[in-house]
Amino acid sequence: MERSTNPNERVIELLVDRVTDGLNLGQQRELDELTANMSEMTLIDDLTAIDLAAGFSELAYVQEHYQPLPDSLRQKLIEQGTGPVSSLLTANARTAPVELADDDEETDHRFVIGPQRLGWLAAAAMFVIATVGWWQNLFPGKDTPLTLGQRRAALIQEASDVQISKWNKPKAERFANATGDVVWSESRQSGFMRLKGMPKNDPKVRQYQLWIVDPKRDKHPVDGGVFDVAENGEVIIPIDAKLSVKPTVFAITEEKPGGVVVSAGPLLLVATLGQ
Amino acid sequence: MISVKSIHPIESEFAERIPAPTIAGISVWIMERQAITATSESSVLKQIAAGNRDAVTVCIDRFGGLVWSLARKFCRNATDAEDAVQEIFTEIWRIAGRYDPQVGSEATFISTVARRRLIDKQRKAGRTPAHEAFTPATDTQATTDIQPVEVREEVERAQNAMSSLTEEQQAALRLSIHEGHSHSEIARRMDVPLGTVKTNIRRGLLRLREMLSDDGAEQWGGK
Repeated sequence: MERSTNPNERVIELLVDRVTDGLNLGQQRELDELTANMSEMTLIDDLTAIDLAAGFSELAYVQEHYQPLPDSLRQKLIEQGTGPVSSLLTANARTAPVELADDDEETDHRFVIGPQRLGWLAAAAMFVIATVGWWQNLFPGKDTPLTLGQRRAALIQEASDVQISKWNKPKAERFANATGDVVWSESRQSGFMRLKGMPKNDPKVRQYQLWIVDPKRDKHPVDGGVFDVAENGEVIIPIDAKLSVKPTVFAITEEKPGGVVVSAGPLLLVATLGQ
Repeated sequence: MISVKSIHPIESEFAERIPAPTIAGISVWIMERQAITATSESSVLKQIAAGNRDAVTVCIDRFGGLVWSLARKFCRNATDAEDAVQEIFTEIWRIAGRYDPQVGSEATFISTVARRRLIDKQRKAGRTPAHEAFTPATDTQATTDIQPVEVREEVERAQNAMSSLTEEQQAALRLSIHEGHSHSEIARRMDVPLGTVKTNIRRGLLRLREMLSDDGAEQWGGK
C-alpha cells in the first residue's frame, strides 16, 4: 500500500495507526504537520470515532472470554463508587486532577512532548476517555488570557457535572452543514456552544439567538442572548444564562437584530442534554 | 439503558407533532417527551453523573463482567486485572457525564474507556497482551447466559457489524484489536505486505465507524 497523498486521508491513516499500533516520532511529527490547520472539532470527531470503533470491535470478541465479575471485586468497586472516598474524588475533580491524571500524563508523554498542535491532538484523543491532567499541558501561563477554546476545555476539565451534547442534524437546507456541540455545567451555570458550517449572518439584518429550555422553571424558554457568525470556520460562543437554569434543551433561532422576547421562528439547531 | 435508536432527533418528533417547530411550542414538546422517556430506562452513566449512587451498583452489575473480561485479557495475573478494573471504574465514575448516547451505546463507551486504559497500562509496562495465556470459554451458550442483556445486545450488534466486513478485514482487526498484535506482526502472521494490513485495519474500522453512526443518530454524518 502506498501512503495516501491526500492530506485528509493520510490523517485518517495516522489516526488509525495511533489507535491500533501507536505512532513513532516521525509519524507523530507528520501528523502534527498535517493537522496544523485542522479544526479541533474535526480532530476530536475523527479520533473519538476511530477510538469508539475500536472499542465497538473489541465487544465482538468479548464473548470468547467473558467472565462474570468476582464477588469480592464487585464489593470493592461498590465501596469505591459509593463510599465517602468517591464523593471526595468527585469534589476534588473540580479543582485538582485526581491521581489518575499522572498516570495518563506519564503514559502518553510522547504526545505531550511534541509541538503544541500535537498536544491538542492528544487532548482530542482523550476527549472520550477524559484524561484530566493532559489539558493542563495545553494551557499557557496564568498571565495569558485564555482563548474561548481554552476556556471551554478548562470547563470540561474542571467542572465535575459537565454535560456535552451535539447539535442534532438540522432540517433546514441552509443549515444542513451546521455541526457542533454544547458544553454545559449546571453548577457553574456556564457553558459554550461550538458551531461549524453555520451560515454567516449580517448583524444589521439578522442575528442568531440562543434559547435555553428549562421546563421546571418556566414553560417559556430563557433568552440566552444573541450572537453572530462572522467566519466560515469553527466558532465558539460562551453561553451566558441570565437566570439560574437547569437546561434540558438548547435551541438556536434566527431573529431580528437584538433578538426577540418570544420567538416565532423555526428552531434552526437543537441540542438536548442529559440523555 | 436507552438504546441508541430510542434517541430521537428533536426535529423528527416535532415533525410528527408540530409541523413548524417554534420556541413557543418547545416546552410542550419537552414535557410530552419527558413523560415518554420517564417510562423507559434512562442512561445509567447519566444517573451516575447526576449523583445517583444506586446507579453505581447498577453500572457495576451491568458492565463489571465486561470490564473484568477485558482486564483479564490484557493483564498477566488476577491482581493486575483487579487493579486495572478499579482504575477503569474510577475513571468511569469521573467521566460518566461525558457519555453521549448519540455516538454509541454505554457498552461501547465503557469498552472504549477500558480498552484505552488497558493499552496505556500495557504500553507503560512494555509488554504484549496476555491473550495467549487466557483460556477461551468453551461453552459459548453458558457464557452468553451470564451476560447482562445490555452487554449481550451490544455484543451481538458488534458481531453482526464485524461479520459484514471482508474476511481479510475481520482477520486483521481480530489480530490487532482482540489479540493486540502490532501491524508488523500481523503482516508476518498473515504473510501479506504491511501496507495491506494497514489498509484492512483502516477500512474495517472506518466501516465500523459508519455502522456506529448509522445507529447513532448520524453523529458522524457528512464526514
